[in-house]
Amino acid sequence: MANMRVAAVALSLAAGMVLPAAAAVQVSGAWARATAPGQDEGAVYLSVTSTTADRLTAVSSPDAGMAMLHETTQMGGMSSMQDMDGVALPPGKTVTFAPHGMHIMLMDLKHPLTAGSVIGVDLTFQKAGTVHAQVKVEKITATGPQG
Amino acid sequence: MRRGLLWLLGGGVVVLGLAAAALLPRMAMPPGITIGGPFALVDGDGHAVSERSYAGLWKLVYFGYTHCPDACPTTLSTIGAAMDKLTPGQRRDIRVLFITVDPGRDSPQVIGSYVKAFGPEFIGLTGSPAALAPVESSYHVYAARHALKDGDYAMDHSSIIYVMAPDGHFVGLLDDNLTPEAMAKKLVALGA
Ligand SMILES: [Cu+2]
Repeated sequence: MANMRVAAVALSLAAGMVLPAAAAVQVSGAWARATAPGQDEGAVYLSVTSTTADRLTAVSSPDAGMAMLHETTQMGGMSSMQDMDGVALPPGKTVTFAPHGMHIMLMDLKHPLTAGSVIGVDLTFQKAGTVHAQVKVEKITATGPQG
Repeated sequence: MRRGLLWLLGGGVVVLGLAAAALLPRMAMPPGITIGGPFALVDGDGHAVSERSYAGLWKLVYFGYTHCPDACPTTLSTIGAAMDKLTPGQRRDIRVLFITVDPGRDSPQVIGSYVKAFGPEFIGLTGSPAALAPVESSYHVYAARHALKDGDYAMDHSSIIYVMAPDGHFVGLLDDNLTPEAMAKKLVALGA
């Protein structure tokens, strides 16, 4: 029994070495808009690509009290923000978080987001583990990562 | 959540009709439906304003709230970029009225400083819930609080831009997903 457990641990370690966590998931183009005076929440946009099927299950940020996966849904001219439990990553397909779509919602920001600064987010994946990404803060009027 | 969705569906029916009308910008609204009307609100400088305060100007009316992290700044940024595509003469006669659906958090100062970031023609309007309710209903706007996981809340709201002519009449809708170029073009086509 004990031997079996050791074997299982060894197996999972070996699997981990075959598919190193850091290489499986790529996070790119992360940006957020500067916050307005008095606003203590923000939205982070980015692209995620995983070489294998995976699932983004949780997000956090050292710059915010709380981070959540949200999606803005547009239906017949209505805009609504919904919580998401996770985001599926099909193998090799880039999943994009962009304005009017999915975003990482930062709540209870510890400081205002000012254009030109950099903040961080941590994305936790079912298989790839936790990946840190640097987020460029753009002007409040930005519509994409280049301002 | 379930209840919120039901509300959303109910509100969606009204707005769906409006969205359909947006596809036909120059078509008159169905008979019996009027959009917009008199209001008594407060601007970002704390001044009492009404629809007459903007008589003779084109008005783009959009409802939202400053704590909105995605839909509102995206739409306001697009409007601001569309303004940049217009001639100075065209811009001079346009005001963008951003009317809050979250008066509890959007004081005149808060909404006033918020809209300034998007361009010189932006005006933030707020008021008491009693002052805002008839404005929302005259624009057939749907807005409802929706609790988020951490105890904070977001507002579900209509995300359509209403174009009002200098005489105060509704002339068309702009979809919030338009590119700035397309938005500017449509504004000019509507006569602005
Ligand atoms: Cu959100």
